[in-house]
Amino acid sequence: MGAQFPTLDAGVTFLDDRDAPAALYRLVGDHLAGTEGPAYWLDARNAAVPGVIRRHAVGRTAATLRVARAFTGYQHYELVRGLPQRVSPRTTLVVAPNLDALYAEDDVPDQEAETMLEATLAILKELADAVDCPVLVTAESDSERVRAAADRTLDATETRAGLRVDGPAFGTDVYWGPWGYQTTIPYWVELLGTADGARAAEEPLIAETAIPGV
Amino acid sequence: MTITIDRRDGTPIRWVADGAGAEPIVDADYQPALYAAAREDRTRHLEWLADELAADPKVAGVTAERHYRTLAAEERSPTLRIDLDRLGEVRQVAREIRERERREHAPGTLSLYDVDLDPGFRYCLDTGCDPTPNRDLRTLSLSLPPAALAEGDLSNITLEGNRSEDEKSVRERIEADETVREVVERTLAEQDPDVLIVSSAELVSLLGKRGVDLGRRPGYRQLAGESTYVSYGQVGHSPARYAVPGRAIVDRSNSFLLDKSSMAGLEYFVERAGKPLQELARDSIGGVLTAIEIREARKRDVLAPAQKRQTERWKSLETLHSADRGGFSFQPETDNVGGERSSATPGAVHEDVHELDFASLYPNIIREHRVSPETVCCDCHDTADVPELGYSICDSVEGSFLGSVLGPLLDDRSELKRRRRACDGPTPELDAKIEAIKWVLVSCFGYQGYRHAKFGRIEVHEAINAFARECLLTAKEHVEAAGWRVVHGIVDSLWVTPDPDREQTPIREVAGAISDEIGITLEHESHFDWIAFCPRKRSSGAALMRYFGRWNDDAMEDNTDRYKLRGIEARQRSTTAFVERAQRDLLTVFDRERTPQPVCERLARQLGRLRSGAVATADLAITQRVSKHPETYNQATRGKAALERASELGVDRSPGQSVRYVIVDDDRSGPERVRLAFEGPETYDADFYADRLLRAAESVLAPLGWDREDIRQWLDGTRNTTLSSFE
Repeated sequence: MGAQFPTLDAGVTFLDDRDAPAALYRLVGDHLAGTEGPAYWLDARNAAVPGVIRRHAVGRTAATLRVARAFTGYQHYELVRGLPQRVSPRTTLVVAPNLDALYAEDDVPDQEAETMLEATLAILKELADAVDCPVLVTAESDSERVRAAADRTLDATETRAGLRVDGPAFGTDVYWGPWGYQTTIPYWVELLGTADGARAAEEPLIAETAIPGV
Repeated sequence: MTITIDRRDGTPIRWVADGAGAEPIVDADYQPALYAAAREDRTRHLEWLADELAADPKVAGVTAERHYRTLAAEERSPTLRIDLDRLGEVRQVAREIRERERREHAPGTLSLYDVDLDPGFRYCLDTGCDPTPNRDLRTLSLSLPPAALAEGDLSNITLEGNRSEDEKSVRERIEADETVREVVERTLAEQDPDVLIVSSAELVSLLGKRGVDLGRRPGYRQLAGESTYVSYGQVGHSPARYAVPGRAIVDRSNSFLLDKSSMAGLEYFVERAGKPLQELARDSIGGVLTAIEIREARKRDVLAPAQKRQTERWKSLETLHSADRGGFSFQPETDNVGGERSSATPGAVHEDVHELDFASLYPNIIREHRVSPETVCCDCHDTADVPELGYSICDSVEGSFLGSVLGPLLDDRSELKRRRRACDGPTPELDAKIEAIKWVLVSCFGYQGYRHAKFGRIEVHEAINAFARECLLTAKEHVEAAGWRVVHGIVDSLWVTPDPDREQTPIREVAGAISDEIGITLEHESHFDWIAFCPRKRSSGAALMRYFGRWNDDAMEDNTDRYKLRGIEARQRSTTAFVERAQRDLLTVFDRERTPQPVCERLARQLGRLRSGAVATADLAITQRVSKHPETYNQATRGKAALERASELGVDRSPGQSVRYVIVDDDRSGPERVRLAFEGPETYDADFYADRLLRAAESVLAPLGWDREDIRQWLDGTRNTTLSSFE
């Protein structure tokens, strides 16, 4: 089954799954089956349904997966911000379905939502580059925006022969326009702290306590 | 001491009861404050903010202070206290700070606190002002039917004060040549109420425009325009809000607690939450709970965050799966029902059943197990305290936050119930308080999982659930060991029947032993001669929640009704009076005969009457809560038609409000499909209501294994027989 899907390369991959909602789970399961090491699922809109994930990531495949669900744009943003402390060079995958969904809700003022979504896209991009890890994202409404920020797009369609995923090889048209501060790894490291590979490898499941708020 | 807290030009005015009247006390020195803290407690961001605000005329001053940012924080964090000149400008200043932050910093660099507190509540929190009155409040109700309100016709207004003697009605007075204005003003002067309970806040502006001053000084103030919001998964409507000097306004159409309870319930929570009546009255249950939480947090020097930024912990799929399982549910033997056509499967009807309920299970778990945002998954313990999930619960602090919030409510409710038991005769005040507290207690668990709950936390929600499941499993094991068979169980209740092959320990004794072991009272709720559980609707994965049963004689002293109904049509708010009565009628037949055919015979008679046009349309009115504006409906629903009709008649309904209508022609779309109830329609769409009646009959017959198709076949057969017998 593995040959059916493109390999997820390092960098941000936007999966256009509007016509094939199961594609995300298939791709994740397929990827996890071929890798070892921690993987993170930063959830929005309750895409992380354990039963569905397990159906496509059988046996011990999903044992390395850790899930955290965001229910508001603010929580989503904080989870994204916390990722650099969590991922390490051993991380095999970061999944963030419905990446834009919670920022589009009424409880986040428009301009603030805009800035947070920009930052989210930038952090994921920097993160993918810094630890050389695939980041797989889907979008709920603003798919053009997410597509434009990603390194590549996979188009998923349900065909009578099964799920089909097309991934034209590109990576050059990365769009960084509106984001105010041109990001560099040192900038994010300064802001968010380092991704300590050794520590993360030893204790990848420590409780997250660094998030201020409630 | 306080009746209401008003404000003029940003200055709070406290109205205090004074002899028979009330006096205003202007607090010109009061300055409201909000707080800012920086990510990772970096003080340079706070210094930057202090500089930014230096020239802001709204800001009276800034001070570096230290407070706890979270319930779990071990140390106080540096914060910037921002004092403002005027009450009522806090949200505006907060928005401006966000905008400044957005221009110069990464989002989330600053966190703001104590932003969205209602002004009167804020004043009471800050100054220690007691919002409870020190005398019995004098209330005056002002009511106007919606249609009259829409037309601005005040002649239908009714006034009713709790000091009223035998007054002439407004109408009588108007006929005696008094104007509405004179009548209202004279009533206000005679009764000098502290609280105006209005059927709609719009009455304030309507009367104001006629020159009537409802307050103790001239004038009225609009606090907010009407708006629609989404809260706690429900669309709500927030009507325009008004204030008048010296009197609290309670908008009956917009007060959940008043709706479920009474003034006594409101006054109880004014005291518990420390929030002035006018603001508390329009709070949702979540709002009441939040107010109590903010007050408790203040005691701990914890600030109330404007945006909740705390995130879920990273979890394995196993933990997520266990945590997401929801409440306990034990399925009775009804899942086979429905497969066998036209043959009654009596598995869903059980004889001689006792119902056992854990009293206030969730809040008691919160208190007993110290489940609270600052204790669950603490940093200092590595113990697996929460069943199934293995989360730790910190025991190194005294008095958990949520326990401190809910404990007094649990204790008060027990005490009030004890007093009620000691009373002979009606106890409306006690009933109202008990009911009001109940609503807050039943909501506290769900609210923990609500994404905008200020002090909510998903792991707390999960832990409560896990403890609850364990309680029910423990109880189930005990009753089974004592010779009983569990026929059904859900969330906090078990239904048990004697195991015919064994000897039983008396059920109350068993319940007592379980209560002792678990530390939460398992009450013997009731005894049924029989109870019938409806099978799950096929498409729905929801646990069984629909049942009905006949109380045993020993349970009848507490009940006026012979039957207990849950979840079936007669209990649903949207059910018409006709269908409700018809379903109850079918129930009595069910009870007497316990076979489907006689129930169907009764149903056929009801259908005949409906189709003959003999049912009064007042009994066919549907009450529906409006969830969106008519123009935003994609489909031509009945609700949309009702809204369109309301709009045509000039009684616009906003999302969150209710509309009452009768279906007159379900094949049409648009406003002609319905009539609003107050139009008094003379005809109705019999097919539509027949369908509703069939659904209600289906619920009654489902426990016997009959579904809609069986009922239809029976009805068709009867019709044919009946027809042929006339040939």
